[in-house]
Amino acid sequence: MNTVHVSRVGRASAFLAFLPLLVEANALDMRSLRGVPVQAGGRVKPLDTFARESVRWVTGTETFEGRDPMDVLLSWTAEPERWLEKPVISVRNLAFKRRMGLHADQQRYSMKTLMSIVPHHPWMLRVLEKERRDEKLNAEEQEGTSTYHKMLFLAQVVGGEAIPLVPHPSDPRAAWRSVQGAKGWVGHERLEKSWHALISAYRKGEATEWESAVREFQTALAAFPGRTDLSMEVHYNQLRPFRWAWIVYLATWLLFLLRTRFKTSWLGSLAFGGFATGLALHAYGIILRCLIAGRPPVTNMYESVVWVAFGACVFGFVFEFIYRGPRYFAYGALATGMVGLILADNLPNVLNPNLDPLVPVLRDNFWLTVHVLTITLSYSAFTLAMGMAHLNLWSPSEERDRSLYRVLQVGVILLAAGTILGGVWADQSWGRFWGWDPKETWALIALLGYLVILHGRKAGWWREFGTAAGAILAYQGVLMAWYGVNFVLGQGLHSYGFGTGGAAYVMMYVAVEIAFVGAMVLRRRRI
Amino acid sequence: MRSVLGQLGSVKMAVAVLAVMAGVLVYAASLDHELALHRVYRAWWFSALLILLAVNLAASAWVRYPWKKTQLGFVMVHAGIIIVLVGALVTRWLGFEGMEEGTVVTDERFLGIQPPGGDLIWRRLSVHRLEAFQPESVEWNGWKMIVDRYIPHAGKEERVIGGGDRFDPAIHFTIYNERVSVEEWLQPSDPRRARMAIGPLVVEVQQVTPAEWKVWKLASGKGDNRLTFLAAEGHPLRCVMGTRSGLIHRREVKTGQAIETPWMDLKVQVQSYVPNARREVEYHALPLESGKEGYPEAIRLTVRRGDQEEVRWLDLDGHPIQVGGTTLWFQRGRHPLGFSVKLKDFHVGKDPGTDRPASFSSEVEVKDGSRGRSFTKTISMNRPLKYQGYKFFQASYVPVQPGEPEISVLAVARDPGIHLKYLGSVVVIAGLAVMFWWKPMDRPRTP
Repeated sequence: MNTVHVSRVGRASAFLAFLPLLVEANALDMRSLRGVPVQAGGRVKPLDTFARESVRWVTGTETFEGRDPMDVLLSWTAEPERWLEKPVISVRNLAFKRRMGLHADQQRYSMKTLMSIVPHHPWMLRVLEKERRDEKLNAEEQEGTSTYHKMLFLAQVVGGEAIPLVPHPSDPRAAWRSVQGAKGWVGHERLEKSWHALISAYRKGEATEWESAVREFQTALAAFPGRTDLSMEVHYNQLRPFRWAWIVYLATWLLFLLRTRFKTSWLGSLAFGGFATGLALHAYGIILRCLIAGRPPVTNMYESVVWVAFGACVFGFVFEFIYRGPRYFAYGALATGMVGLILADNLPNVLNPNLDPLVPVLRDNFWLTVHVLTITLSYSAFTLAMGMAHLNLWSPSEERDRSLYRVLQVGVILLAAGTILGGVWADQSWGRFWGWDPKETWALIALLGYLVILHGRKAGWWREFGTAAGAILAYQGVLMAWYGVNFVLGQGLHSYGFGTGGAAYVMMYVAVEIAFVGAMVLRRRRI
Repeated sequence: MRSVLGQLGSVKMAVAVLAVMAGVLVYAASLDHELALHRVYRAWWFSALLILLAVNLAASAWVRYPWKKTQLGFVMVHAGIIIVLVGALVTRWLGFEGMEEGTVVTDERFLGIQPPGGDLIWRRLSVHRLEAFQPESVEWNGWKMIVDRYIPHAGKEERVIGGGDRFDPAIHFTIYNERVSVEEWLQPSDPRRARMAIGPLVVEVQQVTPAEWKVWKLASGKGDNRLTFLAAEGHPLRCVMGTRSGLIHRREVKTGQAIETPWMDLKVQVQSYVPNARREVEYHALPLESGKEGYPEAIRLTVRRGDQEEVRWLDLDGHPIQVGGTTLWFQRGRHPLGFSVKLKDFHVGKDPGTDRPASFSSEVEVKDGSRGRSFTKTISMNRPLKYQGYKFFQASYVPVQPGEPEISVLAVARDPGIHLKYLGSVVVIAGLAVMFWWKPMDRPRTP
C-alpha cells in the first residue's frame, strides 16, 4: 500500500467515520492542493470536491478503503498499475450484472474484469447508441452506460486526462483542459514538467520532495487566469457539518432520555445546549452550501432531506421553548432530524450531494424559492408530526395529543400556502396556475389527507388515537409527493430533482408504518 | 332552509367531500396524464365536485354568522378557496388548448359543411381520442352524415385508381438503372405528389392545355436536370427532358415502354397513365401511444342524400372532400388570434465548459394589424411576453446540426380566471397568516 494509507477505523464504525480525516497528518500533505480550481460538471470547483465526487461516483463510497478521496484520485493518476486488478468500479444493478456474466454477490469489479466484457458486449453497444440519441433508458441500461462511463473516466485519469484544471490562457469562455490536453497553450511546458514532478513525488511518497513539487506545480498553474478562492468549499468538505450535526443530535437525544430517568436540571440545560449546538451546525452547513452554490438551499433530493430535517428540528426546538412541555417535541424533532441527516450522509447513490448547476427554469426565481421553502417546511412539520405520532400511539396522553395537533396545524398551513405559492410560480414560469401535474396532484392529495384528519376530528369522528394514526398514514401521501413523484413515477414538469434508487427502502418503510398502525389498532381493541 | 344549509356546511360534509376528492385524485394520478385530464379533471362531474366543495365552504361560513373575531382567519381561508375555485371554473370554461399559425386551437372536433356558393357551417362532433367511440350522425339540408368509424391514431395509405368524374391525370412510373430503381405515383393536382427529386434529377407531371402540349418550353431552361411529363386532356402522354447543358429531348410515351434518358443510364418506364384519376385512402388503426403527436385522426363518413349513399374517409385538419359538389372538413375548433408573433433571434447560454444550456431567450416580433401595433420583445425563462390576455413563454428549444439555426419552442397560455386565482390566493394566505397568529401562539386548548 501507499504511504498515504490511513487507518481503517472509519469503516469499522459509523460513529467514527470522520476519524480518517483527522489522522491524515502522518501522510503526504494534501492541504494546499485541495483548493486548486477544477472546471467540471458546469462549474468551477476545488480539486477536493472533484476528487470526492469522482471517487464517490466510481466506487460508490467517498472514503474508498478508508482513504482520503484526494489520495485515491492521485493514486489512480500516478500508479495505475496498482488499480488494474483491484475491484474498484461499483456496479449495483443485478440484471446488468447477470447480463454481463459478473458475479452477482460482488459490489465492485476491477477494470481488468470489466474491460474484457463490457465494451464488446453487443447489448452495451446498442445501449450506448440509445444514449447518444437521447432516448429514455431503463434502470439496467442506465447502470450499463454509467459503468461504461466510469471505466472511461478511470482510463482517462490514468492517462492524466480526466482532471480539467487548466483554464484557457486568454478565452474565459473556453472549456478548461487537463494538463495533457492543454498542450500548445502558453505556459504549458512548465506546467507539464511540474505535473510530472508531482506525480513522481507522489509515487515516492517522500514528504519534502512532495511539498516542493506541490509548490512548483502551483506556481506553474498561477500563470493561468481564472484563479478563484475556493477555500470555503474546501472548508465545507472537510468540516462535514451535517455529520457532526447528527452526531450531536444523537447525543442530545440520549441526554433527553437520561433526563427522564435522573431529573437533574443541569442535565436538561446540557440537553438544550446540545440541541442548540446541533441546530447551529446544521444551519452552518446549509448556509455554507447556499454561499458556495449561490442559490437557495433546496434544489435536489439530498438538499431537501437536509432542509426538511432542519425544519423539523427548528419546529421542535421552538415549540419546546413556547410550551415548555415534557419534551415530546424535542424527542420527535431530534429523532427525525437525526434519521434525515444519517440518510443524507450515508446514501450518496440515492441522495446525491453534488452541487451541480440548476436547469434554467429554476434559476433566478423569487417565487420558486418562496414556494419550495414553504412546501418543504410543511414536510418538516409533517415529518415531526409523524415522529411524534409514534409515541402518541404507543402511550397516548392528552398533552402529547395537543402537541401533535399543533404541529399538524402548522404543517397544514404551510402546505396550503406553499401549494398556492406553487400555483403563483407555475403561472409565472409555465403560464398556468394549476395543471394537474403529478407533483401538484400529490401535494394536493397530501393536503386533503391532513385536512380530513383535522376536520374529522372537529366532526367528532376520531380523537387522540385517530389523529395520531392519521398523522402516520397521511405522511405516506407526503412521501409520495416528495419522493414518489420524483423517484418512482419520474414524470411531469417537476422533472429536475428526478433520480433513481431507494424505492425498496421506501416501500419497506411504508409497509413497516402501516404494520405499526395496524398493530396499535389491534392492541387498542384488546385493552 | 337553515337546516339544509347546516347539512351542506357541516364538518361531516366537509370530511366527506375532502375524502372523496382525495380518493378521486389518487385514482387520477395513477392514470396517464392526458387520460386523467380527459376522464377526470375536465369531466363535468369533477367540476360538479369542485362546485360542491365551494358550496360546502360557503355554507359552513354562512351558518356560523355572525363571526367571532377568532373566526376571521377561518372565514378568509374559506372565502379565498371559493374565489380560487371560481377562477378555476372560469379557466375551465373559457380557457383554450393550443395555438397554430395565428389561430387558437381547442380540443373539440368539428365537421365543416360548405355547399357550392354557400356559407361554411360547423357542427360539433363528440368523438374523442381517449374515449370509446360511439357512432353519431349530423343532419343537414336533408342529408344525413353518419360518423360510423373513428380511428384515434390512424395509419394512412393512399392509392390512385381510375374512374374519376373529371380530368385529373396521374402517372405510375419507374425510373431505374443497374443500381437503383424508384417506383412512384405522380399527380399534379396533389401538391405533395406533383414532383419529386431523384438524386440530381427532378421528375414532374404538368397538367397542360393542348396548345402547351404541342410546344412545351422548359420553364427554368438551362441549369436543371428535369424530366417533365405533359398530360393534356384528350391527348397521349408526352415527356420532355432537359439537361443542365441545355439539351432537350421530346418523346411520346407508351405504357410499358422503357425510355432512355441522358442521365447516368437511367431509364424511365411508365406503368400506367390514368387521365381521370381519383385517390382512394385506406385507414387502419395504429396502437394508441399517448403523448405522440402527429398521427392523423380519421373518421369514416357515410353520406346519405335521397337514395344515394357514399362512404368517405376524412382526416383531422387534412384535405377537405367533395360529396355532390359540397365540401366537407374534419377539424379542431379554432378561433382567430388577431395578431402574429415572429421569431427573430434565439440565444442559448451554456454552463462553463459544458454543452448544458444555462439560459435561453427568444427575440420575437409581434404584429397586430387590427390595432396597428408592432413591436419586438425578448422572451426568456421566467420572463414571458404578455399581450392581449395571452402569455408567450420560453418553453424549450430544439438543438439542430452545427451551423443551422436552432428551433425555439414557445408555449402559449391564456387564463381568463387568473385574476380570481391571484385574488383568492392572497385571501387564503392572508387568512392562514391570521389563523397562524391567532391560534398557535395561544397555549393549546383541548380542541
